[in-house]
Amino acid sequence: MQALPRTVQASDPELISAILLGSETAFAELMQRYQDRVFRLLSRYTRDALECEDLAQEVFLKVFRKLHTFQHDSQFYTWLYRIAVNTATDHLARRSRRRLQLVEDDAVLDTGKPRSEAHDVSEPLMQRELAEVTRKILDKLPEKYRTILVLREYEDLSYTDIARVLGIQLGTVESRLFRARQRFKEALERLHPEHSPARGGDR
Amino acid sequence: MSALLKDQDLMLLDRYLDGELSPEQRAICAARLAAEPALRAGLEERTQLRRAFRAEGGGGDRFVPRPGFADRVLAATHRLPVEVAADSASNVVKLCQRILLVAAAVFAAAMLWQSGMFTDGGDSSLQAAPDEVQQIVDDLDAKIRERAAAAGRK
Repeated sequence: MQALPRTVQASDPELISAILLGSETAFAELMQRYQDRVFRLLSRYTRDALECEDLAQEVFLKVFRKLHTFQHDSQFYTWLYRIAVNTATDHLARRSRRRLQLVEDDAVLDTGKPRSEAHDVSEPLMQRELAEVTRKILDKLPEKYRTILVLREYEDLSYTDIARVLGIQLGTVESRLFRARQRFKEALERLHPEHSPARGGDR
Repeated sequence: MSALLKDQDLMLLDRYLDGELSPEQRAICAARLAAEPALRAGLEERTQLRRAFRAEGGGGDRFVPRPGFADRVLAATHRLPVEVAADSASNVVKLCQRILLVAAAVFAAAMLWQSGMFTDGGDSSLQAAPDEVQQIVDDLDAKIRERAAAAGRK
């Protein structure tokens, strides 16, 4: 594998061309450009830092091996996200099988009963609680709902980009996102009514 | 309150908040929001729902690459050609096995053909003994003569 001169501010297509010609520097540059995004996305699927890094490495190795199949009719990052999402969901499926644990198990969303409302707590604490509750609910949502919420709410992808990443129709993105939000809202109302939008949410 | 709204209205509000409406659609939606209190209440609910995600987005475990991550991946790519070569070798072996299998099948079919298993039981050979041929020709001549004689009598 040859090492071509480092290309300053090269575009994604330029880097990809260089990688396909054998440039390790270009591949390192591409990883540098996207590794934070990949880690951020994968952090939504695992709570273990080393596991996250293993997944990220798997993602970039897949990129390296499959780069010649990348079609330039879409943005590179949507292709990369597709690989990352598939890697993460495969990982979830494997983990789920290993632990014989259903991912979609609302019964374990929370160990306690629904909390009573109107706790006299400070605003930052409410924010932290809400963040924790949100994370728990997201973790227990069916994978397809969690993924579409992650792509929209945290990665800020447009409906069009989500459709490309997931390989689904635009109308499916809209309806699935709606159902995902409804499921999230219902879980929030049932398990943490004090945070529920219908009751005024986090103020 | 959103229970009063149809799913279609809630989806419209989602697209409104996600910035997925065209300018024309957005204007129509804004006009409806101004005129419909239930829709406004629905918008408030959907907005608060998003705050839950924003709250989570700022915290939680966000892993970042450890120093040397890219180097470790690059090192792993160096091992890939070996794996690819191993895969290729495995594919070659499989291909050879298939070729041998096909050759054996063709050979077996040829042997069966040779043994006459595929014939209909009759003798399809064009070869015949000269005496047999002469006998047939004589028989045909005799029949022709008989028919000519019969025609002459008429």
